[in-house]
Amino acid sequence: MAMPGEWKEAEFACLFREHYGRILGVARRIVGNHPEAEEICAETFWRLYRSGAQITSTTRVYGWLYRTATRAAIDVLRARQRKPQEQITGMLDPEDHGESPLDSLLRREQIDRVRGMLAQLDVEKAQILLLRHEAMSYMEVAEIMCVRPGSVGTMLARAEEAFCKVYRRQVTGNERTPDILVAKEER
Amino acid sequence: MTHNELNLGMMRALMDSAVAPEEAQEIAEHLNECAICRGEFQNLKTREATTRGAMNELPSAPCDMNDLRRGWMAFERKRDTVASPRRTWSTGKTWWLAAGLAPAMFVIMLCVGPVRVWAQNFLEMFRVERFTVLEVSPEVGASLQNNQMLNQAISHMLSDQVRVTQAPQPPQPLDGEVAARNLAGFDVRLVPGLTPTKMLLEGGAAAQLVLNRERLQSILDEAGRTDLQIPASIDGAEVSFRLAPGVMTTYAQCANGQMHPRASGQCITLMQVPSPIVTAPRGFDPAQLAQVGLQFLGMSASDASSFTQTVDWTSTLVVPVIPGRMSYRQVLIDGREGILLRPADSAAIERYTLTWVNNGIVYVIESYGDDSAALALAEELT
Repeated sequence: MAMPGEWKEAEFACLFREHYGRILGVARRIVGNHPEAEEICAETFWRLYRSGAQITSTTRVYGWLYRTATRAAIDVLRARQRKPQEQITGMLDPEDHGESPLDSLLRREQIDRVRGMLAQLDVEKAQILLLRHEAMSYMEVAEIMCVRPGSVGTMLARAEEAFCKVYRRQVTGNERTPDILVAKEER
Repeated sequence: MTHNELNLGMMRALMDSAVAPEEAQEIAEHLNECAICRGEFQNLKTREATTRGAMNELPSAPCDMNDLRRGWMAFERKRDTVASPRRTWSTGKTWWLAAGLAPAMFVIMLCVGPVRVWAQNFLEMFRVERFTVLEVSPEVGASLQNNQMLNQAISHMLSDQVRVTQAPQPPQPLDGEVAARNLAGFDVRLVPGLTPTKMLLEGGAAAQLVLNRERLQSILDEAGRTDLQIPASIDGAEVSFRLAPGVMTTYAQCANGQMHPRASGQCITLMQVPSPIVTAPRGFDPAQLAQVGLQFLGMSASDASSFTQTVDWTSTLVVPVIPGRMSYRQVLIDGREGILLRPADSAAIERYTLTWVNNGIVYVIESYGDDSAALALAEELT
């Protein structure tokens, strides 16, 4: 019999089935489709299990899992940035899109670059960008990030500003380049 | 809608159709009239497009049944092989500890201002040696207490940023003064002439907090204090908090360990614990944070500045008191400054809490009686 505050096995298994796919999807988007994403998820669910059945509502569980997993995933990106380049090539997204080897290489470089930019942001900024990019409503973002819905616009604006600053630094070597010029550079 | 009423968040929400139709209309009308806001709106759009374009590069990888099965097996492996005992420390307790530590850490952080030089040490170390009172207005106290979003944001910040490095152990019964001294590691005082009915070794905990400027700033924003700015210099500073185990001694008839109205002298609880220690990176200047914290608690900028100059911040613990809920008096116990607190509730008017620090040990007495009885009891312990 489960002690108060402990998960019942069936209850936890049900919760695992409900959330694992989405959390793994988020982890894979951040770190790529390889074993590190699964390790992040296993650790995240283990932490939830170990912490006991304190969080009950579905939204709160997902929010907790999301914040914990994305934080761990961004830590992985930061650790990668500290490693010599030759150690991490070959680890990232070996998906085959039927592209030429050159296109595949360029695409992977671009993915690496975006991940590198995310790694340079505050975790909360990266989290809100990822959430918004999953087409979540402001209400859902607010629930997951534990803020008022009225704060989401401001947080998003700040996160995008920070992202573009990093982006400008990478694209033009100067973070003060006006946004409009960066947009032209992209084209 | 006026120029000052329109902010970035509203414009950003407008781009995502996340504002009410009437408000969207008002924003659009203002954008038509105001070139500055129109320019800012255009910047927001460009940034949004740049960010969206970059984020679209990240491939999505759907999860299938094999992933789910493999994930469950990985989770089971982790659960079954982790060496540490399961659930020795629950989230509830962690939150409880975090909640308990938060005010202490906050006020201690407030206390460690214009810095005495600890230059030979790698870390700054601060130790509580005395207390002082900070009056917080009832309105501010109520608004902070009733702001659920704010409290939730603080709880989440603590949950995310505080790492408990040493969990408190359950209370451990002690068999007399010698056992108490041996286990607690300091000379435990007893009230002369009284035999303790219960003696427990309690607490002992350590935690680390990594200060995140952005997170703290968002909490101030949540509280509606966008006028206050957390200094950039504190970002990333790792502050550690350590509280050694203490000894709780109970004398006579305290119902179920709780205080209850009674004639003077029948119920005394005495807590003795070594002063909490806070360490912070060398060069960490918490004075700026203290200024913000004091203003957050309702002080004007000039009052906050004056307050920080009136206290020895390296060693003084600030106790927030809300007048009307609690009365206080600063007292001297064997030459040491202490604080005598009483609830404003007239039914419990005789009840007091008296606290002071002597030779690195914090003493807290809870009992009933008038001021002279409280001070006499404290003097007996010195």
